Amino acid sequence: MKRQLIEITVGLFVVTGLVALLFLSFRVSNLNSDSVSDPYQVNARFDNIGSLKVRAPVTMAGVRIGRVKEIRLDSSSYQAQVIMDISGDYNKLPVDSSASINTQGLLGEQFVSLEPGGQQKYLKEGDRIRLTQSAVVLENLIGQLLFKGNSNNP
Amino acid sequence: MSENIVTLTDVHLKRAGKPVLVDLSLRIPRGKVTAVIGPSGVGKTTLLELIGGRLRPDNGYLLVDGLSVPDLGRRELFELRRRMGMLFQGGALLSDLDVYENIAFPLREHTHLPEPVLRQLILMKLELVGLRGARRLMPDELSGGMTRRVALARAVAMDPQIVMYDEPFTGLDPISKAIIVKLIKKLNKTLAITSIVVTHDVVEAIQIADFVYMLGEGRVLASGTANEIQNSTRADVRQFLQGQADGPVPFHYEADDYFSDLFNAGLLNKDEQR
Amino acid sequence: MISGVRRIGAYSLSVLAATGRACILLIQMLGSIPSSVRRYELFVEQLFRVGVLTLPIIIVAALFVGMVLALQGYNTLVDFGAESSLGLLVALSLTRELGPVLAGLLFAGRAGAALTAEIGLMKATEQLAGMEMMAVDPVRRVLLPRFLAGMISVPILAALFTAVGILGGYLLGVNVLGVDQGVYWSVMQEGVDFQQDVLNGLLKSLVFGVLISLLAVFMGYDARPTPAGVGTATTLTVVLSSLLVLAMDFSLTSMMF
Repeated sequence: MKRQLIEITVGLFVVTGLVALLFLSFRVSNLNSDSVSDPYQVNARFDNIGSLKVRAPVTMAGVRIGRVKEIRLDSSSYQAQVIMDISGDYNKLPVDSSASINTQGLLGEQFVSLEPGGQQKYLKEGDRIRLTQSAVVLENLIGQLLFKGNSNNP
Repeated sequence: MSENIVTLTDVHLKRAGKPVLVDLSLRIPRGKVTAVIGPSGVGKTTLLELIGGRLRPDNGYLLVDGLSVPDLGRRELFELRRRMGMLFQGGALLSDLDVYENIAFPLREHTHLPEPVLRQLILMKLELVGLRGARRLMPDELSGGMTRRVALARAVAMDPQIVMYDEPFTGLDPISKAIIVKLIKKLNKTLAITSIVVTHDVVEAIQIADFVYMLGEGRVLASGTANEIQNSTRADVRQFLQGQADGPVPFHYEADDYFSDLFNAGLLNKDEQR
Repeated sequence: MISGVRRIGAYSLSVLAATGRACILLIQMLGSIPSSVRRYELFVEQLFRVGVLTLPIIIVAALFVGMVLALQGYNTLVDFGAESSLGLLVALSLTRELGPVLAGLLFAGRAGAALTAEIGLMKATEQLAGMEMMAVDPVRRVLLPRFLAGMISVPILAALFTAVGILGGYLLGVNVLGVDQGVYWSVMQEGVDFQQDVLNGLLKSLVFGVLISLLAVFMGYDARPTPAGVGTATTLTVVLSSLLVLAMDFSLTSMMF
């Protein structure tokens, strides 16, 4: 009787531990939205990626279709090379699609946004997106504004 | 099947640099009650720890039932211990188990007996020590005498060949002492167990022992049947048997000269540093 | 002067020797796992005494820690207009640091001390010697189940601490301070990484579990068999395992993050 009670409470203890772990995995961290199913990789080069980070989302028309896998500096062209995992569900992206780095809100996280092109050929594993637009660096923007403001003055 | 179940030959043992046993040789006859008596601190308990394989001698031979205990591997030693029982001074009952489970403990650990058989065995042992009615008490609810009787029942639970008693009479009232004396005799007769009783209670030892060893300063001072020991004329044996404060066994622990110790202020530092 | 140096030397040597004995004990325990598998009920019993009985204090403490984090975090974040990041702050602090560390410290105080005292007393009352004479190995019968139960319990308790703490932060942040509940969870999901944060936190707590349990079991087994000896051992278990948890936490953090 006592033995059973002990076994039951220990069982419950272990189960609540597992529930807590599941909670941490799926509710607290991004384990569920994290995995990209059956991904293929494409890469793109940017003059400046701002503060883009590995694992940042890749979207098209605002829908999340993949994530940034790796970022490195191409030492010959001094450009940033961004390698992205795109979900296999979206395997009909035209080869002349363009990539740009945008910001969620004014100060939010940065992400890669793809704009579809018009060609009938589609991007596949290892392809490169040629048309890219760099991140907008806020400091530069403000700098330009100030410069213009100054030059308008007589 | 030799006549002596335990044989020690020239056993030497040092503990923390001090010799505890010096050239100790003794034989324990099979199926008899052997008492090892002597003042406290002469290595009586150490002797039991040697026989049980909890200590190794520095020198000498130690045979138990034909096996050299110091040379046994862990597994063989545990195998041998199953044929031994030991009664500790404090009982050493497992405090989170009741009386019944304490006696069941060695049986559950070493056998796979079905519960009804186990129950019968345990009740038989408890009946032997007269505590069948106390089976559901916890160790902290037992008196000193009862604790020792439960421990005794547990020591013989596995039907051992040898049972070692470490000071079985110490701290008991006269009735409990008499009960333990009776039990040791009874167990020795009915189960043909070899008993080794280590004690400083001379009266009880002489009552039950077939053979008596008296230890002093790490060696055997005298040996013989209970009668022979009682009639010994040796001064140190007489001192112990009659309980005299001073004699060949000195009253004082070994120390420097009293007078010079008292007035030697130079030693002050030495004492304070300790 | 010389005697001071000598004392330091003697002390270091004794610490070193104790560490060695603890390692030997660990190896002995690990070595006796295979032959103990059929006695899993001993392990379950210890899991109850070590794990389940520590649960209430863990839950209460976690709830308060979560709420304090939310309160303090909110007051700071609101100055920067970033109170929407409250969920992230609470979750990251708990998964990375506070969950494993506080669960470890509470475990050391509640279960570690009890383990040391229990084993030390069993030694002082000759129960361990008695077992040995009954041909039962106390390392396998007494120490191993307690060590394993402690080792398993700490990660479970740490996971629970973290989860309950986040819920505590939610209670206060959303219900009292008025952070949007959807935002509380979504910033958390965006910012907390499963591998980097959750798994590493869990790994930390496993390390703490091994350390505290080994220390507790060893201190009891190695204690001088006197009332004072057991008392000292119990104190040492709590003090040393707390220090070890904090020190290990620092070195693990610097390696992981």
